[in-house]
Amino acid sequence: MFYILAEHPWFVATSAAYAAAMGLYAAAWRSTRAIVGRIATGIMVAAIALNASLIAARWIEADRAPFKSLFESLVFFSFTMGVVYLAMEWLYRTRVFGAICALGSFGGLAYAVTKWDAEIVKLPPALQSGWFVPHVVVYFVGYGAAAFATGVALVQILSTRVPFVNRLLSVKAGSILSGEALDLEKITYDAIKFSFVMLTLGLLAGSVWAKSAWGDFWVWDPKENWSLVTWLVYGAYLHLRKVKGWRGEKGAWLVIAGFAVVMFTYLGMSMLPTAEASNHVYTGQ
Amino acid sequence: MSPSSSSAAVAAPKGGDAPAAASPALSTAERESRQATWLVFGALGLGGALQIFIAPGPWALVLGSVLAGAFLFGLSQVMPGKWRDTLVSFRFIAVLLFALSLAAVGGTLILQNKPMAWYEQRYGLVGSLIVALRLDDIFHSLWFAGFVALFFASVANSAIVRWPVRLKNVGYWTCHAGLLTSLLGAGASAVFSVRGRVDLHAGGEVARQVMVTKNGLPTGEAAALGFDLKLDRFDLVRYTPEYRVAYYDLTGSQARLKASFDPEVGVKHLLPGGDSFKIKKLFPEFTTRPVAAGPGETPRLEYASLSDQMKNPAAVLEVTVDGDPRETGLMLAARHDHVRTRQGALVFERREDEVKAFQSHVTAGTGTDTRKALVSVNDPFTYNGWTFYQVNYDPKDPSYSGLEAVRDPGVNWVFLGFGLICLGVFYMFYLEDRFKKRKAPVAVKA
Repeated sequence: MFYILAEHPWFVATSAAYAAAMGLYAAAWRSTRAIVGRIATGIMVAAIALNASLIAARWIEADRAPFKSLFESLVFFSFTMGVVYLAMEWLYRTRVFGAICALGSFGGLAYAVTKWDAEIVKLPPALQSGWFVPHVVVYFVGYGAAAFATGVALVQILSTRVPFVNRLLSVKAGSILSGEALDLEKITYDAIKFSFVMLTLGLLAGSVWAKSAWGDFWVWDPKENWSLVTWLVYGAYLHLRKVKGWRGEKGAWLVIAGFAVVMFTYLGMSMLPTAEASNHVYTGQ
Repeated sequence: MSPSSSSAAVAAPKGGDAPAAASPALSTAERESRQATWLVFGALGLGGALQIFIAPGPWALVLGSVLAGAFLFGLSQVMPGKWRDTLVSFRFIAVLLFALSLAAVGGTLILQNKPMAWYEQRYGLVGSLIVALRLDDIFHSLWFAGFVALFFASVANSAIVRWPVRLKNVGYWTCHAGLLTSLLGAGASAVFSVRGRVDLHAGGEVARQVMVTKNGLPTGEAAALGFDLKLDRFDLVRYTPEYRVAYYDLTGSQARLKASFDPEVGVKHLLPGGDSFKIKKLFPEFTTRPVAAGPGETPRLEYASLSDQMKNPAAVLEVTVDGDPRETGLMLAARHDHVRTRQGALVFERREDEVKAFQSHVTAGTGTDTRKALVSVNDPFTYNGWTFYQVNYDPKDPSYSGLEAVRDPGVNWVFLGFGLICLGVFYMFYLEDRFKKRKAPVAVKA
């Protein structure tokens, strides 16, 4: 693995920036100095910019959108997780979740190293479509939002069990900028709503694309099925949220379960006995 | 799916759990849970039982869904016991969505639409069970149709509860109208669409009919196209050939491509295990030429390149193993020349040719009324109600092209439904609340 990192200093710099942002966001939990949190956000912005440059460089080098292999998609997933987090930090004026989200982006890149492509492959005919980029982008933005929601749901669950986590949510903590108590359940719900919109767009765009490529808008391919399962599980969450008793921990657990389904849909297809019948198993898996 | 807070306001007194009244709310929850269980397991059991007599298939799915949906809807209007309230409740819809999820998961655990004998051969006794329960075709089964019927009945009842359409619930209507439109379109597609294969050879072979397929397998039936379809030419377009210095890992039982490097002179690359290499000399179009020999010298040849184009590349590498740099001899890509390192081997070679496009140049029509077109993946061709998709080729027969021909009256409805779903979901989540908030002060004044 060392030889890969030595050959790709920008990749190392991006990972290091996410790691540094994670450390500083964690420090902002305890620090009373606002500057710590500001630097954390600054480094997160830098990490995302570096991540974007990795994607752009790969795009230029490959002469196609860099979403073909598992490695490429992981780099993009790290990016979308980071971007969604920054948007949420700005929206809810809190840095409480920064460390978790930076860890997610760092984890994505760390996993990508283990799936490094031996070489850049060309785009096969089936992927040469105008739908390719929008389909992948909306899906991964949706995944990023789902990851963020899962992070918040985890904090929600831990806050009732771990006093340290509960203290993080105190309005006195330096990482809450609004001065108001955080409504974790509402933040999770908003993130899942956004994710659901993206997953809907991605699912339907994929279906239209499948029609133009293969002549059928739905073929019950394993990846299609699991994408549908993801959509149905989050759909169930959005409905159950209206039912008494589902806004607390039960809802949070369901969000976490939904993300487990997302991750299986993304990474687990090769484990299925029907994988051989799928057109969607990533190269590099 | 149900709407956000507006529907909560509608459904809470009936199907939801009103927080103010703890005891009745509990009984509502119990009733909904019990009835939801009955409905889902009833659909599963009844559909499964009927499946013994009726084979799964598009007609079974569509007719089963429509008839059972209409029956359930009618029944829910007259049945005592608040069954209609359960059908429109968020709890029931969530349960139904989970049930549909499990069905979808099942379809990924069991290979679908294989010949019955295949399951018994592969899974033995479990295979026999799969066939007996008709889990070999989950998405055309009657119990799956039962789930779809429940969905229909639920949405239809929810629509009645939420009538009339207002700005604050138009998202719900749009989204659910989209779901129903898509499902009806998909039903029409499943029942009325015709798909099949047209296998052609370039040079003028003409097809007048489609060999109908089901689940990708030929049914033995043919459908008339109503016009002639001729393959004029088939092109297998490949990407421009590229060359690489490939590093193969030899530590396992098989050589595995671990890394690939562009042929660039002077750039040092690290290899697994700490070795490294760089290209010292590169000859894109390799040749040898004589060097003018002085008096008494033996005439000799030197390496040279005829051009900068990678037509017959050769390279000389400097490989550093255990800190000891060594220059290799001439490595010709055409010969796959290689040099060993500690854990693997470096090979100068041409990359595997990758396909860029499959292109069928066709002519469709009758007599003098013809139209020429190019069919390629992601770029189908539609003529007289039939759409042709590029789906097959034969590497051993460059003149052959396999096209999928589809006539699908439902697909436009499906896509219309998709559009409505997207609009409806967006409206529900991001616009609907504005109308509710605007109305709140009016209510206070009143």
